[in-house]
Amino acid sequence: MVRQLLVIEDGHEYEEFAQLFLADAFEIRAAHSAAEALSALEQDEADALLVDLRFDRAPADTLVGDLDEMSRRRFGGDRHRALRHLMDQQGTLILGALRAAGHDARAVFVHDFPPQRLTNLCRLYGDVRAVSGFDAAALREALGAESA
Amino acid sequence: MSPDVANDDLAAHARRLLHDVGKYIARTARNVAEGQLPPDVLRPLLLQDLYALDGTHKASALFHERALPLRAVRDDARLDRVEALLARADAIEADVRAGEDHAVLEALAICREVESTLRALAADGGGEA
Repeated sequence: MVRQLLVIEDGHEYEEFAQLFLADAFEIRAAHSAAEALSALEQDEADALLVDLRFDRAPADTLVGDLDEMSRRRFGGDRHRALRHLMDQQGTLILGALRAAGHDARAVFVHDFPPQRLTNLCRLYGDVRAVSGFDAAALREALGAESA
Repeated sequence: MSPDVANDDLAAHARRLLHDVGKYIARTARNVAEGQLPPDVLRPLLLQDLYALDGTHKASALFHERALPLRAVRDDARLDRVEALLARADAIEADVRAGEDHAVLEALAICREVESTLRALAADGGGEA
C-alpha cells in the first residue's frame, strides 16, 4: 500500500523537492494552510507530514494564532512583531491544530531546531523530527520512507 | 529598543535568511556529490534554486532584500561573501542554463557555500559582536 505524505507549506518548494526525491516512496499531497491541511487529512489520513516552519507568504487571515492576544501577551502591543512571530512559527502552530484535531502522523521539519526546542516540540506534539536541510536521504529516513 | 530585543531581532533575521535563501538554494546541491554533475532530472531544480528561488526572484535579489535588516545593524563579512557568490552565480547564468559542465559544477559549489555560510551566520545569532 502506498504511503501518504502531506506537505504543508506556504509556497511550493517542499512539494517540488518531494516530487523529485520522495515520489517513489510516497503519494504526495500538498496543503498551504491549517484549514487546507485539516481538510486534506479528513479526506484521507497521512502517514507522514512534511511541514514548513515559516509562512511569510501566507495571507494573515489564514494564519493559526490570535494576533491580538499574541501582541498583548508577548510583544507589548506591537502587532507587527506579533504577526512576524506568528509567521515565523506557523508550522508548529499548524501542527498543534492538527494534533488537536486528532491527526498524529509523524511530522518532519526541515530546520535546525536547538535540541531543547525539538524536545519541547516532541513533548507537545508527539512524533516530531527535524533535519537540517534538504538532504533527500535524511528526509527519507526521518519520514519513515524506508519502511514503506 | 533594549539590547536584548535588538539581539533577538538580529537572530531572527539571520534565521529568516537561512530559511528563505540558505535552505532552499541547496535543494539540488545537497543531493549531488561534490565534483559530480547532476542528472538531467535535477537540472531544472538547480535553475530554480539559483534563478527563481521563491518561484520568481533570483537568489541574489532575494538575498539582497532579506539581508537588509541585518546589514542595518551589523556589518559581517559573511554577508559580503554570500553577495559575491550570488553575483557570480548571476554572471554564469547563461552557461548554467546551457548546461555547460564547468558552470554547473561551479553553480553547485556556490549553492553549497551559500548554505553553509548562512547556516554559520544563523548559528551564532546573526553576526559578529
